[in-house]
Amino acid sequence: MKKGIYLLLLPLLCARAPAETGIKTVVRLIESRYSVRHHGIPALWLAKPFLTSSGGGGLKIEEFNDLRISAGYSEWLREHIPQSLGPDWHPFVEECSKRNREWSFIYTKSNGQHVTMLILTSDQEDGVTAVEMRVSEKNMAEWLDDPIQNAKTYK
Amino acid sequence: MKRIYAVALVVLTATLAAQGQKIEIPSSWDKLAAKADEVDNVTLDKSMLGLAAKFMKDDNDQDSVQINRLLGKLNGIYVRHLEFKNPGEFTEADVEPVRAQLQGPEWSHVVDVNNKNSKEKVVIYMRTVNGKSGGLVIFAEEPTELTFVQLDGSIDPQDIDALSGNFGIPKDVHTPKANPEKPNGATAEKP
Repeated sequence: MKKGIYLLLLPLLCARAPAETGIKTVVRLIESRYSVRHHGIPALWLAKPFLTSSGGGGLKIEEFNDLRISAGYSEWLREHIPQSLGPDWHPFVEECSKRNREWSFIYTKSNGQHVTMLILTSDQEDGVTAVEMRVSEKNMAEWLDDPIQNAKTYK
Repeated sequence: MKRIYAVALVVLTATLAAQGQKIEIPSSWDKLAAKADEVDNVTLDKSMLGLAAKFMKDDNDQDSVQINRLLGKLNGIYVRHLEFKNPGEFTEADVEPVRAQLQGPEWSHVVDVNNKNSKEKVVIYMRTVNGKSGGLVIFAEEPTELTFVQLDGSIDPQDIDALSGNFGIPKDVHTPKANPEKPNGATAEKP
């Protein structure tokens, strides 16, 4: 009898747990490093239909409103985020301004069809924000056209 | 058993050879970045370039066709840009280690532009491996800015014109018209 139950459970036990999204990994890294808690965006689902209609989707936003990490101290994150995200994610743009006391790191992941972008930004006004979203072909082409300027204007 | 060692040796040699062909971003760049006011890095590896070729494809646009052709030749585009608050915040001694990594028998200066008015200096270095282009590095120096662009792959200096202004490559980086009297190692000097 026990054998039968084990055989029934086997496919479930063997099934791989869904891979953690990039934003969750980054949020956990920041929380453990800086002993802070993240906040989600209320009613974010209202914006999702607009994103989907423009070819994007899968929008996730997490904020650390009370966390200020100056450009000079962002180096630790710049070093550790790629290690935590693993080889599926690639650094795309790193932009850091001591003058404006803000920075942003952008990573991408592709399955050959879609590109998912993970954006981590920090400024003195809003603190640290993490955004993950699937980008449309048109948006990605715009990003590739001028990645640095897009990273600056994204904030 | 010996066969296994032989296979392992071949694989290891191939891996090292492949690594050897890659141009590394000079480690001294990070030291300069620590002094800079603004730091911008763009990294486009082979997989991202493949997507770029797909997303930017427009058969009706001649520029797009040309860019797509060039993307197919490249293994990566790496842009590093630094801005400093005031002139004099970096010295020749700071920049020299960056230039030193672009010396050696595989490297040649293909373009050297020195604008005395704007104090801007642009050098295009080409890496030749077994008689073929193994990549280009554009190193631009201004009193308060440094730009290092690495184009990894079999690309020619003339191709830079089509790529400049895209992928984070500065718009004002161009290949000067070839001087028939000085086909190699030409030095253009602007008054």
